[in-house]
Amino acid sequence: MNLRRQLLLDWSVDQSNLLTIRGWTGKEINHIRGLSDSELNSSFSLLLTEFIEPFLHGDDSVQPISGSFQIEGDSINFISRFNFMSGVNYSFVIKEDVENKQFETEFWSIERPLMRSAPSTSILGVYPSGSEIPLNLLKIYVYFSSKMSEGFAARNVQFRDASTSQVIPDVFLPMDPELWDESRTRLTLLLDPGRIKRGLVPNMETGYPLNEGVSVAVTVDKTFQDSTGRNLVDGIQKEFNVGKALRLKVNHIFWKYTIPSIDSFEPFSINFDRPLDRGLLENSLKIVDSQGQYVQGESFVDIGEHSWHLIPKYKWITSDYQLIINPLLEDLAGNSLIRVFDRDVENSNDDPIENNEFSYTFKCVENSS
Amino acid sequence: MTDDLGLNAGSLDIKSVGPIAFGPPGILFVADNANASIFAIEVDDSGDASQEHSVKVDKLDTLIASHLGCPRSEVFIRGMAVSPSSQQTYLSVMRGSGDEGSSAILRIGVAGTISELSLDNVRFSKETISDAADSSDERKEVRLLRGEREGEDVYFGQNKYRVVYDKYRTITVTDMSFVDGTLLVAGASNEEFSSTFRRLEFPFKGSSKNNSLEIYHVSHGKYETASPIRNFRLYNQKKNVVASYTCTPVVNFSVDDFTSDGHVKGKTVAELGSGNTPLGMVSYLHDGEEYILVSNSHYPLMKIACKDINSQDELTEPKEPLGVKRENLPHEGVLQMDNLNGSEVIMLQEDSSGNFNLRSYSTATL
Repeated sequence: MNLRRQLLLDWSVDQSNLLTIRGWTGKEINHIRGLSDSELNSSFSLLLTEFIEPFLHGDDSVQPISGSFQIEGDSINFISRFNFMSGVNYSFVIKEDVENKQFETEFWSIERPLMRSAPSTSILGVYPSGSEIPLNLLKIYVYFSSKMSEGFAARNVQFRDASTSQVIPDVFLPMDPELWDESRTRLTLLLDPGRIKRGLVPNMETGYPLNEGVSVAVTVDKTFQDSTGRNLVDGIQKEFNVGKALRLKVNHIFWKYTIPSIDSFEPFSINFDRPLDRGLLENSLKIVDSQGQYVQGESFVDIGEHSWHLIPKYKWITSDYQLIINPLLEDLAGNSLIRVFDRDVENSNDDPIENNEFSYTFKCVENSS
Repeated sequence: MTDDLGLNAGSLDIKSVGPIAFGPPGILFVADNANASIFAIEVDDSGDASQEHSVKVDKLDTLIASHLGCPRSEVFIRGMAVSPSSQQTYLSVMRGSGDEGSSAILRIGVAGTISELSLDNVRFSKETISDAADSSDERKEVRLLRGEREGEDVYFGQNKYRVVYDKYRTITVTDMSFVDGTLLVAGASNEEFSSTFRRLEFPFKGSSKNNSLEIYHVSHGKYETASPIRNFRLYNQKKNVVASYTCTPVVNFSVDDFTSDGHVKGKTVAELGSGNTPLGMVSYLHDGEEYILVSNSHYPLMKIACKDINSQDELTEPKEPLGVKRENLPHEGVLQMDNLNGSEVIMLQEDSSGNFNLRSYSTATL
């Protein structure tokens, strides 16, 4: 095989049916420019590399790939009739010596990488979104902009030491299957409850998954694949300070309420005494009017999960409104309105509550103007 | 500009290619199941019809793969039809699958040359199939395969089969035949009685006449209305339709049954064997007698005399009897078939090494 030439084969970045062959000498390219289209296309061929041997031996069942060669500047382009296929090896073949008109064959090969179209899915957020988490944090959420693939959570989401970037091992409870919402855009990761509950063997042997007073970071690697098999647009790193453990029931009497005016679209707002669980907040708070009808509107949670607002679709009226609170609404450590996640059996304040109805009644205020 | 065949010049927006059939001279019908449409395409198909050729093309799949720039495993031949005017073999081929899949109509000359029918700037017309199953219709139809290019392994009892589960949308058209100004189209519809036989006037009129079909399925031991015809041919001077189904009843319909819309019951005349999908069918005349050949995924090529079909009583009992007598032919790995000319039948065959070969056989030897 004559390998005098140092040709380079290059895939086009934006055209899936274009291969560029460069590295010709000035003399060669001048000669090629003198060729007619049909001479050009009979001198050069592109083949699948697996068909090179039979092609060189004159096997009639092997044809060059359908397409055409064109000269562009100092390079030759091959425009294929069909897009090149990922993972397939292609070869450029010269059947004729372009300098001396002697019939020889040379070929150069290149593999089409497993290319996919550009990533389009991004991370919408990592929750808790505040900067402090309790020592006994129970779970984190990762929200994505599109449907995701399963099987990537364990290797792509990590807790790391914020200063060294070292992965903190065994923080998450291994989950199989992974915990996804129905649209597979929200991933829930549980920290190992056995290490959070005092008195359980893992907690006694290896302690809490995180250490109080240190800075940690949750990282999501961009190789987490969406449902089309593509990477994310970008990864994310979110830092937290680990604070004290939190072992108190959520109690709505400590919340601060902002009551809207009658005949307005003002938001009804709640400031919590501590950050609450982002996922549960999505459907744990409802307002009904005195007729028992749900107040329609748009609710949202501020960054930090410290407050919740409802902007009504229709104006507030003169009515006894009632905020109905799901008893299972939790804070970041899994404490709900009815129980402490890691309860102290000696402390009667921690006893689970039987009552399952929690509400707050309010009347909208008269508009002072 | 529209001519009397209703064709317009332009580029075809084909999403997938399926069964193909020749119509009036120079017109090729191409079913696009992903689009639930049938295209009528004008083909420049000059050739010499006076001389009867024979065809022998080895390693057809290598020829196609090298031309399309893909491995042989990514070549899926979905339809085959011989042009009556040139005796060239047309193939509808999918290159690759899923998002990377592309459609091509290839022409294999009698000498084995390959060329491609341009789908840009051609004259064509298009008929949309209004009662096709929606792409969200989750109903599926099993198709048993020869070889392992597609599909998955499943076990029915002790036996392993290679199967594909086709969504109903993808079997909107399973076979087509053009007769006296009408394109006959077998396939599946969006109805509960899904098996359907459509009649489309050509030039296309924007509508079709449809019959839902019911047959007695011998190996399943019951009357069925869902599974579509896999292959059909006209015989008996185009007065009858003979059709094959998966698992493998052969059914006779009278063309007179297809005169208005409504439900049509076929007459099951043969049971060729369970655990099988028929892959191709062709009818031919030899010495004044008419025959059909049925190629199968799991049985040999079978030959049936049409006069036996006409005289066969309807089968209405499970398993036995098997109906009209059939003869097994020795031709290896036959996939699709068509008439090359009046005296030769062409067969796409897969040999024991997995190569696809195109061969014609004199009807005198069948």
